[in-house]
Amino acid sequence: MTPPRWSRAVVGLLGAVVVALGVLCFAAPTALFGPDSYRIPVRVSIGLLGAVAGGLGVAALLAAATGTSDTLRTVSSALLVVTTIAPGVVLYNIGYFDTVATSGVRALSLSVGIVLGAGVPLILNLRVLHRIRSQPAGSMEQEPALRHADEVDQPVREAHRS
Amino acid sequence: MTDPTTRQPAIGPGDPPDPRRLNRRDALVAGGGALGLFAVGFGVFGSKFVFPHPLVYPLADSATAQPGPLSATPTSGDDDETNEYEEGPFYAPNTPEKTDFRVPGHRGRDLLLRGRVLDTAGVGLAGAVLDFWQANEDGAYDNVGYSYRGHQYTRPDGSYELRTVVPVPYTFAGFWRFPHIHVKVQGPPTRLLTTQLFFDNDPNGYARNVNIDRSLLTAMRSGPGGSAEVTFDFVLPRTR
Repeated sequence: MTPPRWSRAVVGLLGAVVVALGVLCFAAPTALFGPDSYRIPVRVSIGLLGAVAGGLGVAALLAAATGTSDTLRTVSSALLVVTTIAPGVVLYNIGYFDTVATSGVRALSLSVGIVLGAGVPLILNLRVLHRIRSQPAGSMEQEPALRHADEVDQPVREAHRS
Repeated sequence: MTDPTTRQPAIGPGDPPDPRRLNRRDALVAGGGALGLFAVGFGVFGSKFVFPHPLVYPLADSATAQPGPLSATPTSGDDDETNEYEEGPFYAPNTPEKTDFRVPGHRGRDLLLRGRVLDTAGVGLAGAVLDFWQANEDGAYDNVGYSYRGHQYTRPDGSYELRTVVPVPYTFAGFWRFPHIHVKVQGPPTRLLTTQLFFDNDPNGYARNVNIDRSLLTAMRSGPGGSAEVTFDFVLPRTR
């Protein structure tokens, strides 16, 4: 069964955001992390973040464009793990995100944004993809790849009958 | 003729619901999941208080106990250990060693904070490290550099002296915070103490603070040139 369009859209959108994050890590690290990003130890962490974000983002984009529901499910799970850890990292280092106002508003807003903007859509996505996966085979519309196999087999089966 | 590859399944009244459609149970699970994600986030934040950063400054292997006359400590009894107080989210380890936090052109009121680091027998602890951090005169912490952050070691008689500015109140995550100075103290033979010092110069202010520890409330005196002075002795139990 094909996953719904919004499922691909969620994975594709989050993939694009993660790719953008990865690109920014290399192209404009100061926009994300301020002037401290020029320090060598910080550059290593930011570079690693950029590499991982780029890889995960590209995987999500490919899954959204061509993947089956199983592929989407795998990428969604990986993104949900990131979504689970990221707010904690932001809140633990709350001071960094409020170097001027000391109010915690930026860190809290960013965490709320991550949970509502990524966590909730991913949970919904995973539930739907899990239901699709647990459907009995052939009960409803099949994956494109499986349909294609059926179409190829059809003349062979008819030839056997005759 | 209908293309079989694009044909949608016909779902009748007796058929199971389309698994691709979201239902109320999905919404409940997503809501619960969001709460769970928030809980994980705040749990990680809370771990900061359960497992605070250790001091990273070298301490002498043995304490040089320097018996001497004790000054009165109005905020703690002779043998009372200084109470712990929450670390807060703004501690940064590995600060520079300095005894004067003031920056040129600051707009705050000068403050001289001094006292001793003692064990519970009232003996001054030489070489104890005190790591101070506080908000500046605008109520903001420097979370990038080390302004208004620094550590120092006590003198042979266990005394210390910090020149800084009087901290001002600020709002954190919507909560009003009473003016305070954070400190981590550890003598060579003692455990680490993390606490905060409060000041009595704003009686209306500390009345607003719901969970203030009055044993950490210090008496602020006027000093020369409009400055302020505070004396506070830290009392730490020996572990060896």
